[in-house]
Amino acid sequence: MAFFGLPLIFVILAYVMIYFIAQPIIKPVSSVFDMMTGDTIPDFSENQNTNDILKISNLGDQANLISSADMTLPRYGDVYANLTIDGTGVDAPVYFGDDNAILRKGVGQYCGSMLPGFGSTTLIGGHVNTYFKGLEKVEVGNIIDVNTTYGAYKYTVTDLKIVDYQDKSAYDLSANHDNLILYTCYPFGTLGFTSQRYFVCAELTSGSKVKYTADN
Amino acid sequence: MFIIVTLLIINSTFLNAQFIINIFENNNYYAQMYDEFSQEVEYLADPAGIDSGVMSSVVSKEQMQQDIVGTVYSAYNYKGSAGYSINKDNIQSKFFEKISEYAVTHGYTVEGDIKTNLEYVSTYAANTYETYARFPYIDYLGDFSVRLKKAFGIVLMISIALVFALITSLYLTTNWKHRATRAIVYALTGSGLMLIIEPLVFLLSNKIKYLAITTRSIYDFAVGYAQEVLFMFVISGVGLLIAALMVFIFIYKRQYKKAF
Repeated sequence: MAFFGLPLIFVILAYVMIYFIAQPIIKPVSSVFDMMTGDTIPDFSENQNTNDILKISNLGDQANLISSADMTLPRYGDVYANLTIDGTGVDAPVYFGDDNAILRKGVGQYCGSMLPGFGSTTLIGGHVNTYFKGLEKVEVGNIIDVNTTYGAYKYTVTDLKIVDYQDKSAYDLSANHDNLILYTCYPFGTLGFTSQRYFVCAELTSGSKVKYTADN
Repeated sequence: MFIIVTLLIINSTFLNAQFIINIFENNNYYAQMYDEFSQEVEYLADPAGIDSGVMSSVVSKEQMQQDIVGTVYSAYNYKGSAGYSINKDNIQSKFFEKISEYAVTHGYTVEGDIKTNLEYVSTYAANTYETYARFPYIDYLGDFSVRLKKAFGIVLMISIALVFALITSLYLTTNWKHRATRAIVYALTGSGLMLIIEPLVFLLSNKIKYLAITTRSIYDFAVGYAQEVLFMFVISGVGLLIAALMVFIFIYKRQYKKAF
């Protein structure tokens, strides 16, 4: 019995000793470990993290003011809207997020900008050779339709700009009114990475405002 | 004994480039990393107006494996810029050559703005390649390992000398040799259990699989690495328990012989 009992006591004492010696670093280490782990085992299958099914609910058609508590906010990688500009050939699914994988499937909203109806700037980018090829045909006064999962929005094009890729003056993410900025590489129909960007600026003309509530 | 085995495990895992290479091989790391790189390069082709597949075959799988292994060994064996380095200029010129060919066959003349634009693409692709071929934080890990190795050796020698001195003094200070041997059995069993319990609890909890890493190759590597280290603790613990059992059997055989 002593052959098992004594070592076991020895182990318990040793663990207690290690615990007291290592106490100052146990909490930081376990905090870092908690930060590095999630609630679920990562899923690397092709369809993970994306929701390609677009359900337009048009909450805004019934009421002119939507509560954010009534809508499902998109997660990164979700498609939450469809963007069309008549007569230009632009017809693209809008994803929340704008990484390389997303821009292959549609156009992407920069996560640091606001969703339509939230009272600020919505910044959407797309590739010049695919979904935003038709932006070269856009003219001031054209209507941009953005049908989201929570309502339909119409914007009127007010300005077209060509700026350097590092120039951030073409848009204002802190604006206090609903506006839409579409951008792509410039010039159109060329090869390689270009150093200029083409911006289409538009102002909201119709669509429900979203009232943000803390419940969401 | 627990400290000695722990130090030996750390020395052969965290401070050992070959251990990382073994984990790469066991977890299909090279192939996965190559696929992820090829995918990323494909994503670059879209905005550049280049067809799918043109850029993905520029760097071979073998070249990438050689660069991954080279940078790992180099980080663990050399300080600063000495050792292996990825030939980024060569990669960049390969990409440029390939996309220039593509441009010419599609009726473009590679000069002026087009040439500059294609150079941007090839530079970006070469930088992307380096990001994928160089294991994340490997330079910091390698540098840390190089600096720690010397100190580790000294601590290990001191620990071994200490254990040896304790065992010797134990035998010299008692006339009951079997009691001294029994004390060693306790120490071996205790050390063995210490090495087994905590890592086994961690392994069985499956907590490692919840690592929030979004890249498959890195995730598989990290999980494989952690599991392998924990297995080494458990196996070493089992080894000590077997040693304790053998000493235990040895004592009883001798006592049994004496009694009859």
